[in-house]
Amino acid sequence: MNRNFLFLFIFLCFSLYGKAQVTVDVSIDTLLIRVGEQTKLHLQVSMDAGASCDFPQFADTIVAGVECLEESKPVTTELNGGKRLLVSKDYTVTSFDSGHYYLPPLEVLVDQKPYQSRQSLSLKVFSVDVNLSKPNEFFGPKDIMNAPFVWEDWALVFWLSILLIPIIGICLYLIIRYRDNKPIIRHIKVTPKLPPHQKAMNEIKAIKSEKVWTPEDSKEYYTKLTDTLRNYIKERYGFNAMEMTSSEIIEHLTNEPDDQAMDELRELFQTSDLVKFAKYNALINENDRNLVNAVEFINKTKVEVDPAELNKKQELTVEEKRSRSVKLSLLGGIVILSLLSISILIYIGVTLYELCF
Amino acid sequence: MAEAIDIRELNERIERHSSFVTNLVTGMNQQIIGQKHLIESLLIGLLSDGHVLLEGVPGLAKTKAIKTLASLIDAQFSRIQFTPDLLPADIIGTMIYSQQDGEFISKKGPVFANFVLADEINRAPAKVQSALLEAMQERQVTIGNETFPLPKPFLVLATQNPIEQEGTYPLPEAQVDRFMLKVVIDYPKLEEEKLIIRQNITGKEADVRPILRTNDIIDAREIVRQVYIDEKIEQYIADIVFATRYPEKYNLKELKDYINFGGSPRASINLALAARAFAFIKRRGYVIPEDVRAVAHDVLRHRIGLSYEAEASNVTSEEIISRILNRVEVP
Repeated sequence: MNRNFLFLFIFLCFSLYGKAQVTVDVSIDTLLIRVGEQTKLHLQVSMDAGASCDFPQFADTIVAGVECLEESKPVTTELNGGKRLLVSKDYTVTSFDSGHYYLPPLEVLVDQKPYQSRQSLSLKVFSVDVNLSKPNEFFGPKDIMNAPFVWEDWALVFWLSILLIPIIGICLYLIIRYRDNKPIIRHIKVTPKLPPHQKAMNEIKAIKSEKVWTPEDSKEYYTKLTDTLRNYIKERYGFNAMEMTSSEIIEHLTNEPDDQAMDELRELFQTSDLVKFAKYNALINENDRNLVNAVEFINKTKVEVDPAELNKKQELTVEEKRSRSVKLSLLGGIVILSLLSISILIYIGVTLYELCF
Repeated sequence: MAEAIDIRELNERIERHSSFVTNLVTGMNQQIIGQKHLIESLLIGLLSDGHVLLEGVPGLAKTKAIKTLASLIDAQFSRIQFTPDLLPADIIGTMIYSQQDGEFISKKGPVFANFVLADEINRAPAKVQSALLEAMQERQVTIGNETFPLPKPFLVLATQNPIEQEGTYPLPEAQVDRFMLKVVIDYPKLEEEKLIIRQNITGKEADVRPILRTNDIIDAREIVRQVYIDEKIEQYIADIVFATRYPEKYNLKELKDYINFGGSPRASINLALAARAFAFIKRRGYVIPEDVRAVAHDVLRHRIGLSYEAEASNVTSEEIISRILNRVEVP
């Protein structure tokens, strides 16, 4: 019976010990470094889940001559299905004095209770041997090396520079067109200029050959005939006959010396007014007579043009009056292209500076 | 010439019935020296049943012309001198209490006549001018609860002094639009002026006797209504009136800023009516573009609202109409 109690006591003691077991281990990457070289200390704490752990913090040195340069953040790993935790932390250390240093066990607080690492370490720091008798073997620092040429670095700058040339060219062209008050594209239509009488005769021929005019078509017939005559008078005499009434046109032509031609024209206009405005149906022979009258009037009043002049083709440019909207769009184009050119130039400049300096 | 029966027959009828035009013109010429346009405009108003507004500085025989026209026609004539203290009842009449009958009876005003001369119409305020509105448009007058038709023919011939003159009230737009024609009278020519002096210093007044009855006018109006207007002329009239509204569509962009409002459909109607009457006066049974152009200024000048820009630039409605007529293509 007493023996059973003893086993139970020992079991309980081991259980309690096992439950509260904390192990602290420390290791170092290398035990041998040159002066100024760095190495790392790895501190690991194995403890129960739920416990809190405080690592040692070194303000400057771990021991005299061994300096702590950097501390990493603690890294926690779960063990045994989350029942235990392994917390590790690294310390970067160095030394600037040669010698052999003893690193005592590091102390960790787990649940405010101190635990020391099971190991103590040593660090050997040695200096580089220098043969002072051979100063020629001393070398200064190497020059800065030039970076190798990489086409990808220059490609964008190159293509933007190529693009910049036509943009600047177009911009300059637009500026010149704007300054000269000309459109972007100049339309040129080359048409032979017919003298008024020839134009009128062609139209009369067309009226004649268009169809067989019946008395029912009188209105259309006389409208076409008088329009042709009024256009001829407008071009021949230079007044706006299209916006004048028949009597006003006759009145304007009072200086015309050929009385017979004027009488014929008057008769033609009177008939046309009757047809157009008074439902009058002219007879076919009346239509023919008035057509002959129109031709005679044109022939009697025409101004002969020099055949050489007639054959000369006249270049007619389309009226290049600039509308406000076209001018504004021209100006807008100049501004946009200018801004684009400046932006590209700035980008190229900055990139070149970065690549070269 | 081939036959165009209706027009030819109409021409003959016009020839027969328009002889009074010559008599009227001759009669007026005995009293009025020159002012051919004024006389023609009065005849147009008479024949097309349209009211006429005469504008001109005092002393240009406006009143005399109207009085003479009324005297040449055997019709009732009344003259209303518009003054600043005139009341609407002074024009259309009022209800008065009859002691004999013991009830209110209507007392008709001077508007109940064939020819009403509204002399210096712009000397009275707008409310009095507006009293003529119903009479001019509806040809009837309402006194109290009773509406009385006006006699036929009924014509308002108004005179006014230019609005720049002191003591004048501009006619409301609604009223001025009801006048078919607004005729601006200018000074006579030098030779005419000499004849006027000669005629007036003798102290002898030419005897004016009626040469026409009201029925003749009504018959003549019936013939005027038959004067043919072709579709092309209608298009021309519409183009002219549209050009006053949308000048930019007729290559008259420069006029756009000068016009506040253009001619109303009433302008188109009156232009067609006046052109018809003008064709009748010229003894024609159909309207030609000349007729439209001849009456265009008188029909449109008071129907175009000028903007401040126009006034600042001294652009008148006369100039606007002239430019429109010179731009719109004649059929």
